[in-house]
Amino acid sequence: MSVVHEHQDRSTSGYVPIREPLVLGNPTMRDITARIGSIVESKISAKYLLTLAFTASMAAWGLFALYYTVATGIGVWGLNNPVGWGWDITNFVFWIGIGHAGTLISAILFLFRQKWRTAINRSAEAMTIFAVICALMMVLTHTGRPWLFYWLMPFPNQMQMWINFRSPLAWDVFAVNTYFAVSALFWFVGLIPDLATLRNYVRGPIAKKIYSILSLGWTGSTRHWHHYEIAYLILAGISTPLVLSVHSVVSFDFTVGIMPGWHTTIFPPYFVAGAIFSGFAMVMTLMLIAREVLDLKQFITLKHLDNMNKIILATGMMVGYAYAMEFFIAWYSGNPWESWIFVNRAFGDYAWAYWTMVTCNVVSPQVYWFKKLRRHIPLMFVISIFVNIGMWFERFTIIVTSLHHDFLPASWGYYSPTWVEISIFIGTFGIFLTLFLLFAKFVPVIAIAEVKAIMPGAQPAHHHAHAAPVLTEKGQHA
Amino acid sequence: MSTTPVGVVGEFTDANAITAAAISIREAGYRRWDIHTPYPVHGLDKAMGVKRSLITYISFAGMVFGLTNALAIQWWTGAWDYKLNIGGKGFFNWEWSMPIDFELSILGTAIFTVVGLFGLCKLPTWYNRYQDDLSFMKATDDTFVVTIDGDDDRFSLEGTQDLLRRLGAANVHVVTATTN
Amino acid sequence: MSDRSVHASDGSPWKSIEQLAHGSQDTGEFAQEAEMAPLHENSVTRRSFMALVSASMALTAAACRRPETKLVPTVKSVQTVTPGMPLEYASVFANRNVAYGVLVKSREGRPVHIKGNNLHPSNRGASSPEMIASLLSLYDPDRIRRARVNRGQVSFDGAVTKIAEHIAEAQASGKRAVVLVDEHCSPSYSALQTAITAAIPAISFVTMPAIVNDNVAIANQQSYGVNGEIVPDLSKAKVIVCVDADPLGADKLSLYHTVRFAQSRTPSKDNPTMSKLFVAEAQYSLTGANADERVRLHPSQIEAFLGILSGGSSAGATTETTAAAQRASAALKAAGAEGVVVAGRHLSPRAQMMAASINKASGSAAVSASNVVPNSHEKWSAIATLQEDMLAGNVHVLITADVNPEYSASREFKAALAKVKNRAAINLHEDETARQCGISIPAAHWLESWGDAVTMDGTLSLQQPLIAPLNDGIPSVQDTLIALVNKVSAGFLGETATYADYVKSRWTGSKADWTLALQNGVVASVGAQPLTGTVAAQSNSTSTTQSNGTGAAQTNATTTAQTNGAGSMASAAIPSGMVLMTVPAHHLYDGRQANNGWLQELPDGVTKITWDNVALISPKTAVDLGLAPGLGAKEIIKANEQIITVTTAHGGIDLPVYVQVGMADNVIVTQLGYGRTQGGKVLQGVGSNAFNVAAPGHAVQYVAAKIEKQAGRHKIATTQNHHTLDDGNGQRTVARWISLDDVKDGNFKSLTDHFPGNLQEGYKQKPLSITPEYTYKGHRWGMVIDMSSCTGCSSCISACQSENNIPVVGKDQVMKGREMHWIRLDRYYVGDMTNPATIVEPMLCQHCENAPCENVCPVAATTHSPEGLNEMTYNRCVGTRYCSNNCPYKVRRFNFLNYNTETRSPLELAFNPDVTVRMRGVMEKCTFCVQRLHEAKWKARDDGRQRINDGEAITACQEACPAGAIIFGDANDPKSKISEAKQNDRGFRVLAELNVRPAVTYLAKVQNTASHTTTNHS
Repeated sequence: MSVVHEHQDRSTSGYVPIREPLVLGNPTMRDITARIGSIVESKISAKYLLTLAFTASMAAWGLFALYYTVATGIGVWGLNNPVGWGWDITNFVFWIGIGHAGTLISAILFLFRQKWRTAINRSAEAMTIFAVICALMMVLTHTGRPWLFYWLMPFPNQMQMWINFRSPLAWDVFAVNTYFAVSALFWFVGLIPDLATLRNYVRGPIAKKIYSILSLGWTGSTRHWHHYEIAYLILAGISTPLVLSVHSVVSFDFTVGIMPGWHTTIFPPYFVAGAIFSGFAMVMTLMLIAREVLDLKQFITLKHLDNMNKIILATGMMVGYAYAMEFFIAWYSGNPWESWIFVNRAFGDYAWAYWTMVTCNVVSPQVYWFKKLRRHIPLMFVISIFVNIGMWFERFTIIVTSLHHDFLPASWGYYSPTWVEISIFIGTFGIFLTLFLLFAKFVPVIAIAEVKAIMPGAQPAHHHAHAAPVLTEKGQHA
Repeated sequence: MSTTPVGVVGEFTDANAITAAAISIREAGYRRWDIHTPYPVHGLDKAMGVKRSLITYISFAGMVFGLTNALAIQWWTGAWDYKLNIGGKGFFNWEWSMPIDFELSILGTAIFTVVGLFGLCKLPTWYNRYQDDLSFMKATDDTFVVTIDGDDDRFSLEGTQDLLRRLGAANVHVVTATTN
Repeated sequence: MSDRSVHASDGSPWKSIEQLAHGSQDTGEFAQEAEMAPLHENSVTRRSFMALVSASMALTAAACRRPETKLVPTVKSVQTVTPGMPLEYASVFANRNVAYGVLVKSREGRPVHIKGNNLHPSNRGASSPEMIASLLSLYDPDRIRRARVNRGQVSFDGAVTKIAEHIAEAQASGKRAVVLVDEHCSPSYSALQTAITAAIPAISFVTMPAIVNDNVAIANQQSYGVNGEIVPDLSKAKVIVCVDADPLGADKLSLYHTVRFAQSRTPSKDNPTMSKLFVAEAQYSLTGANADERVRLHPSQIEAFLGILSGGSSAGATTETTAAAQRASAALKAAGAEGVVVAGRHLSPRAQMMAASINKASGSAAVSASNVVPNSHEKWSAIATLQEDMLAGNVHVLITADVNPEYSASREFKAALAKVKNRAAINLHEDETARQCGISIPAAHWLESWGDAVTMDGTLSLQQPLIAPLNDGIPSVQDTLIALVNKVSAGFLGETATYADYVKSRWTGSKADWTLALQNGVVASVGAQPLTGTVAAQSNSTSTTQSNGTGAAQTNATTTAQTNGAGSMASAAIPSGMVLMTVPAHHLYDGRQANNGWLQELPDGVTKITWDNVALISPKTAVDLGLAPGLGAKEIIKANEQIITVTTAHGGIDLPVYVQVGMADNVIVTQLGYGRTQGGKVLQGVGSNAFNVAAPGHAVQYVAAKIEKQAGRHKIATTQNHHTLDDGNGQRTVARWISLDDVKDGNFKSLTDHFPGNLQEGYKQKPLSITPEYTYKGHRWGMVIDMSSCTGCSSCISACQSENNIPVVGKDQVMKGREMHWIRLDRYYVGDMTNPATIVEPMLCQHCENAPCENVCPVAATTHSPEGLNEMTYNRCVGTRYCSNNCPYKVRRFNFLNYNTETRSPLELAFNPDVTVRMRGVMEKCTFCVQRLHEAKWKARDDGRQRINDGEAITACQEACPAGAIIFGDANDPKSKISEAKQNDRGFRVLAELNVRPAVTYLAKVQNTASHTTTNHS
């Protein structure tokens, strides 16, 4: 049957909805296996090695800066008395936010039966895990005595002391670690069938051995698929509230605080929207690169990118709404501290950061109102970068401007980072990209089994209803 | 030195055909048989007559386990083992225990679910009696592979192969293992 | 950039340790590497030099043991040493010629804390930063350890012999052998000097303090017949008019004055009376900051102002000056004998006399001609004579005993010094002068030596050593002099005479009296007679060319005062244009303790500047000089940190500009005491020497100046920026003040309405809470701070620093905003920028009942004690800094780097063993001196009591406060002072609307004005 076979629905005004294929060129299943398998099989190119070397050296530089910090003291950063958090926590929130899109794509879109997710969910999940690793790195090393990080866990110790469960930071520890664990499990469970596929595809004995071990002896038995599908559904089901809760908890770090500019109830939804926003932007950036470098245009089509841009536009608007609402609340609450801090945000010492944020997050996505621009590759690449910059500045603005001028004018100050903090931030990017490159080379970047499952004719006829939205709504019950 | 049949293997490529085949094989009364597919074929499990999975119960148990742990540790450490007046917020309050209650419930569910999945599927098992069979290997690529084990009561070298051929299986053959 | 990298690239530590191996670590090799840094870069950061000379511990720690002399502890302490229990010994701290009684807390034989002696009349138990910080100077690693002749180390005896030879030569050649000494208030020292001169006439003593104020003595000679400085008692005055005087700020007497001034500054509803402080000045002094009414005067207007005040003509006075003067004189007239006029020490004799005549005319009760600062007689003639003699080559040998003329004297005097061939220095530090001397002999610290001191009212106090000299066998200056004289004329005071014996030998009272005197620290019961009498007798025989005259004042005071009008005095010609005014630094005074990190890092009371002296100018002047584009708050700040060259008739220096609101226009104010180049690591590269541009000590301290703008900037480390209470959103309610009329009318509403519809019942009301209340059964510690009596003297900060082992972080860290002081004095300006009023708000941990910091700490490192203390568990802290972020008062301090563990030995001996020394990565903050609370509990337990009685537990800041502005105690005890104070109508809690429920209550500042707003405009 032809995938590009079109049905038209005139019920909606003027606009003619055309279901595009999720996979171009109508490949057979064997083609798909070969296409993804070949990425693993093919020789490592010099281009790949150079990129890897570059990102790895970024990571090394960052780790050196981190070592220098731990060896000397947090004093090598620019932090001071009013401003106790700067780039460290900004980066933490930033990376956590990046991670969220992965879970969102794999879990929420899965629950909504958005089949187009299959093209990107694998790499998005990988991104989640790597981003959370960076976030954990920031939050573990931002303390004055990082070698005592394990004190944040409740375990019996010689001081007979327990952690303080009232502290949002303690909540963070549980939330972020849970998030990391669940994402990793979810990712691995999703990988098992594809690893089995690779096991049977690759020729190299060592590679075969490794994939055999990793795939745990998966045979594709229907009896296994039976459990597997339910398990996967449950994991997706719990990941959804989890991803929402994690960034809410991260926002508690501020909302539970007493500082004007922090102590606001709008943060949890606002942070979640922002996280999805930045996450999708990051997925977009990486996908556009992977699409070129790994030649995945066949699987990551303009339709996917278009859908993602729609989400970026939507979440961008939510974030913009939150910015506006903050000011309204500040004014409406009649709380002088509150209203002053927001005026100071927009017109004070850090106005430059605030307006960078607004420009990147609210203004730049507006171009996505136009379908042409939603499908304009160079443009969307630029915008995705903008959004990431903007979201980083959002966290910076929230953290630093609220701290540097608070209640008592006598204790006001100003904060600017040192080379060490900047290096560490670069380092996190190095780590993130390095891990992603390794993933893209040695792990199936596309969920093979899931793609196959949505291929035309993949499912028995009477199951098209769920299985093959590649056909039009009308066609399904044919 | 003799060769004993491990089982019979047949290949299908059409989703509808395999579903139909599954029904007939089940009706033929076979117990020890399976269909290996590269991706979950919807309805195939029902067609094979696979019973409802226990995994949901396991997951629920995990949720309860996580929640109880969360409440227990927060109450015991705060209000029993080492009482500290922190910010005048009481030694234990459900209000501030919520986030951790929630997170640990999720964590419990996730771990139990995955462990349960592995348990039910007996993973990892790095051996399969058909693993060297070429048709069988295609099961992770593009073929639906039916395997009917030799130790099934109804198994007969000829009869079983005929059944598969009748159902439209391609490349039906017997898998043997040498024993001594 | 990080300090560590600077440190790593600094080779000197190794170099110095090699020198140490040869026992020569302090002999001048450092001089070369320690050149004064250019203004725009600070070459030696504190942390880099803090790392130096650590190995010298071996030399000094061994020397730290019980003094060999028999000591008598105060009756308040146990008689024998119990390890772990402190002993307190009474002694006396002489801030030049002003004596303050002290109690020195000693642990296992080493002094760890200095506080005021309640029995002493001049400070009544209060202490000053200089007093407290002198403890650090005792353990200063940069003190001289060995005697030196030219470049080589010699024994003490060798050095003394060398000097003796020179003196012998002087005798032979009939030339002068002069000993240059600082002003002091020790009768025994005076007697010793007289005795020495008697024994060897060739030796003469010349008193030459860094800052000479002869004008006061000259004027008083005329108007009271008293050749000295008469000190008014501000507690006896209802109206105080300070004309360019700063009695509460940078002044040897500030402690004395603050104690008395603060007495009449706390009106209540029942007794709504307080003194009115009227200040007319050119700078913005701390006294001006405390003024009820303040006018800006250009120096050229001062005498005109005084003229009008004394009922004379208003010749040469501007209309503002006239108006202000008339307001002031009206107030004075109304007050009658309860008014007093205080004229700045540096003003002309004529100005002094005009002030005196006003006081005499009104018969001011505050002024008593017998209350005279010892040794404050006219000194310049002697100095001038010496200068001529030196130039003429009549001075064969010059011994500078604990004075530093090479740093502080005028160009002419330095030139004369260069003419003297043989020069010796007896000093604690190898300072600028010692460097120029062929012979240098180390001197003992006052905590290491015997002595005595007499106060203005003639009360005598004894100074007993608390510790054997840290550097073995180093005698006090007086002992060195005795040894010296013994070498020249054998048998002087007997071969083995020590100064200790000498002081005792002059004691005419009984042995028991002596013991009692040592216990109390003051000769109270035995009266002032036995010793001071003899001093007075001697002082008659001393000519003005010779030093001392300690008692001269007392004796002359009895002579009838001849009352010449001021007319006989020449008016001082003060140019009306740009004028430079050099004032003593608020905490460093003349820079003698410049090597003291505690004082260097103690923010100036008004400017809040640390580690620097700057050119203070008014906003308008900044604009006129083209340093700032306009008078707007944001524009004015642009002038700061720009470098200008100030040139006067005496020389020129580069100074960074700092705009000080409220100053008179066309005036540049800079502080003396900075810009030291020799004598330690701490003082290296700090500020520039304003003595180079100042008029010679005896003259009026106003000189015409030329300003030249230089390129580049010099970073200034302030602990507080320019932000005022007005955030553009109206006045912030964090620091409050009301007028005296409000108190009279019982109108305290402005203190209670925080938020619309919130806290109608005032600050005592508690908003609702969703969590159950915690009940405090036992003690409930709390504090009350009276902002009305607080003058901002900063004693509390120093006391806290000494008590709680608070590190000195250095200029670069202060610039980053990482100063560690647990209590800070927030300074807020109210009113317009031309002449704003000031509110000083001491800010420390509020020990909130619902502490926001506690909730957010993930490891429960900061928790609440059952007695209401917000406790910090250092060894549990992982350093997330979340608590600090969430503290609305920002009173928490984080150890960003290893500040304390890099203390240079033997500075660690100054640590209080009762308080943990914090490592890097740990948060810290005020603990309400929990270690003292525990000590009080032990005492209570020993007495079989369950509770601590009121007043038994005293925090360091409360103990030090001269104004008695801090009350600490048990709020659960209804009879305690604090419970009473918490009911005061002036009370309010900072940020009470946040429902954090602070344990500290502030009593609003009261300004003695009619309306609520500030009325002082010039």
